[in-house]
Parts: sequence; structure tokens; C-alpha cells
Amino acid sequence: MSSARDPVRLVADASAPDAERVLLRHGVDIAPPGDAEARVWQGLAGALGVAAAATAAEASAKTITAGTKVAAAGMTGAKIAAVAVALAGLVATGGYLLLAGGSSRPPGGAPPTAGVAPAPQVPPPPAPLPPPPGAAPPAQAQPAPAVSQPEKSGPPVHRATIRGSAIRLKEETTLIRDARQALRQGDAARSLRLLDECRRLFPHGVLEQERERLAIEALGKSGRTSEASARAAAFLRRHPDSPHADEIRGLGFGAPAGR
Amino acid sequence: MTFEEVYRAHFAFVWRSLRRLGIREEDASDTAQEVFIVVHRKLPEFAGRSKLTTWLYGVCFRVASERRRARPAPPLGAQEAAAFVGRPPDPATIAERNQGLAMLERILDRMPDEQRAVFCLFELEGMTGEEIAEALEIPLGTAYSRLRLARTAFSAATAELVGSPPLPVASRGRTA
Repeated sequence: MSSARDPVRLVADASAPDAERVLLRHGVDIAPPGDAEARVWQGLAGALGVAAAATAAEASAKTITAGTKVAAAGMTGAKIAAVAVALAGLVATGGYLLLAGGSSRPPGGAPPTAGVAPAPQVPPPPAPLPPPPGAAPPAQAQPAPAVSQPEKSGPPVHRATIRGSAIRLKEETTLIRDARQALRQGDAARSLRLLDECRRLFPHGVLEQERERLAIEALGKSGRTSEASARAAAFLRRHPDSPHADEIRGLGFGAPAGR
Repeated sequence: MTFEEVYRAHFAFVWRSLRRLGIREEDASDTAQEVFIVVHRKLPEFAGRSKLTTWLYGVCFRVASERRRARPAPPLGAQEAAAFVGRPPDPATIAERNQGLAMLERILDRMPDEQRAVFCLFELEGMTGEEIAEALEIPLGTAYSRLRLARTAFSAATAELVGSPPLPVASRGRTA
């Protein structure tokens, strides 16, 4: 894989010092830990609202223990993974009924439509998932033991924290999804109400940037272009390299002239 | 290609790309999750005009840059700093995987993000100049220019590490 103008790669360049080639080989060999793929997928299931029921069945005691350990270490994304696992536990134990009302489903139902992408643009949401390669084997139809085992050994306060976080994450995801759907259906006012509620409840939520992008679009569609411009400019100042930045620029609400 | 298929086929690519872009092992799960949230939303817009990995790398680059800006890498600890200044490890130690990877990361940390991305894509991922230019949305000449600068910086830092003068990059093999 090279083109005529490309120089020889250092690892293959006999004239390069050995030390350079040795160091580079360490970079070539980087690979994720064995459980990373499954752990991140669990986190995605929570953040995107996909396949929650399936992840409940797949959540092994080992995965949950690993997730809670990392969460205790204060790592944001790993927290999300642990939260997702706890979410899955809620589904399995019926705690799901406590979650945001309108979109709740009984355990065992079809997985929800992918939560983050707007319905017309979304690829088919992942079906209830088999675990990724390297994950613990699925415990289908046996979700309860997967959840109950760590509950026996984990500190009660920590379990409560995770469960509370799970509910908050689910609520935030639901608000964002409903706001997006309202916007796609042409109801920008309802979308803004939902986003304002989301902002009030979760000012620094996991989906904060997504929420702001939607709000800017909804403000624009409501005719509140000066507000849209101000928030777009503020967003781009704070997050110039955000994955949402190009989209926000594309909405046409850049920094107001003269600022 | 569905989101799940993309995830399964390219999780390892995303992971190592993020690590090479300066995301520490302990933050890689968080950041990979952020990448795939973006991928989930934008996948329908991917029209196949470029390789999927090229497109994915663009997402990784933007997410990692944002993340590193929000959480800069911690300064070198005393022990790590000693590895760079005045205490060159012997070649056998360099070959020790963990220490070697840590050293490589520290050298790459000294590079501007833009040079680092080009360097890693070319030297470690094996992409061509054209593919790199497409992934980072830069002119081909800029990609080559950044590669030259990054190579010079890498060579100097490595020479400092092992206590020998760097071999001029220009004197090495030139074409593939």
C-alpha cells in the first residue's frame, strides 16, 4: 500500500536507526484489551438506547464487576459502560418500569429504534446483539444471575449510585431522542421545550453537544435566528473541533456579523 | 454496511488510532465510545467515496483532538522525564514492550496534532499519502510536508532518547 511519491516507511527502511524502528514497532502492535470491544458496546447500548434488552442478557458478572471498578476510578466513559450495564440490569429486574414513561417498554420487547440518529437517516439499528468477539458468553434467558451476583458483593451505596446514573442517562437519552423526532416532524417548539428540559436536568450530560446542536437547529426553524446564531457562535468557540461543528456551520448560523 | 458491522470490523482500528493520537489507555474506552456515537449518527451520510477506514480516521482525529484539548496530557513524571534526559536505557530495555510504547507515546506527544496524525497514519497504519490527505482533508503536498517535519522531530527525539546523534532524514531511502 504505497504510491510512487511516498517515501519508504521507517520500519522498512534499512538506513533508519534501529532505535527508531524498534520504537515504531511498539506503535504498530497496539491492540485493545480483550474485553474492550464488549465493554464499549455495552456503553453504546446505553448511550444510543439500542438493544438494551439484549445487553441485559449478555451482561456477565465479570463484565459488571470490571465496569464498576473502572467507574469507581472516575473514568467518564467507563462510567457510561457501567451505567449501561446497570441499565441492562434494570431491564432484567423490572426496574425499567421506573424509567421515562412514554417510551418505556416491557422487558423482552423489540429493541428501541436507535436513539441518537433521526429515524429517516438511521441505519437499521443493531439487532439484539451477540457479544462481540472476546466477550463473555451470552447468558440468554438468565439475566437475573448476571445482575444479582455483583449485587451480593458490591457496596450498596455504590450500586445505588450506578442505578441512579443509569436512570439519568436513560432520561437524557429519551429527551434527546424525542426532541429530535419532534424536530424532524416539524414541531420545533416542542423540540425546544424538550431540549430546555434536558438542559435544565442535565446541564453537563453525556449528550450535551448533541443537545446544543439540535437546539440551534430548532431555534432556527422557529425563526429565532439571532438566538440560533449566538448559540452557534458560542458552541463553535467552545468546541471548534467538535464532531458537531461542521454540521452547526452547515446550518448557516455562524457568528453574527461584526462579532 | 450496518452500524453493528462497522463496529465489529473496525473497533480495533478505532482503538489503535485513538491511542496513536494521544488518547491514553485509561481514556480509550470513553473516547472510542464517543467516536462510535458520531459514527452511528453519520453513517448514513457516508457515501462510500472514500475507504471506510479513511472516513473513520477523520472522525477519530476530530474526537481525539477535542478530547486532548479538554484534557491535556499530564506533564512528564520525574521517572519518565529521566528516561528522556541523561539516562538512556539500553536496547534491551527499549525492546520491553510497555516501556517502549510509553516512550513512543511521549515522543509523539511532543508533536503538533496535525503532524502526529500524518506520521502515525503513514508510519504505523501504512496509509498512502493520498489516503492521508483524504482522511485529514488536506492537500497532498501538505501531507508530505507534515510527514517530513514529523519525521525530523521523531528522529531527533529518538536520538536524544538513546544518546546518539540523529541520522539526517534526507539521507535515507526516498521512495517506496
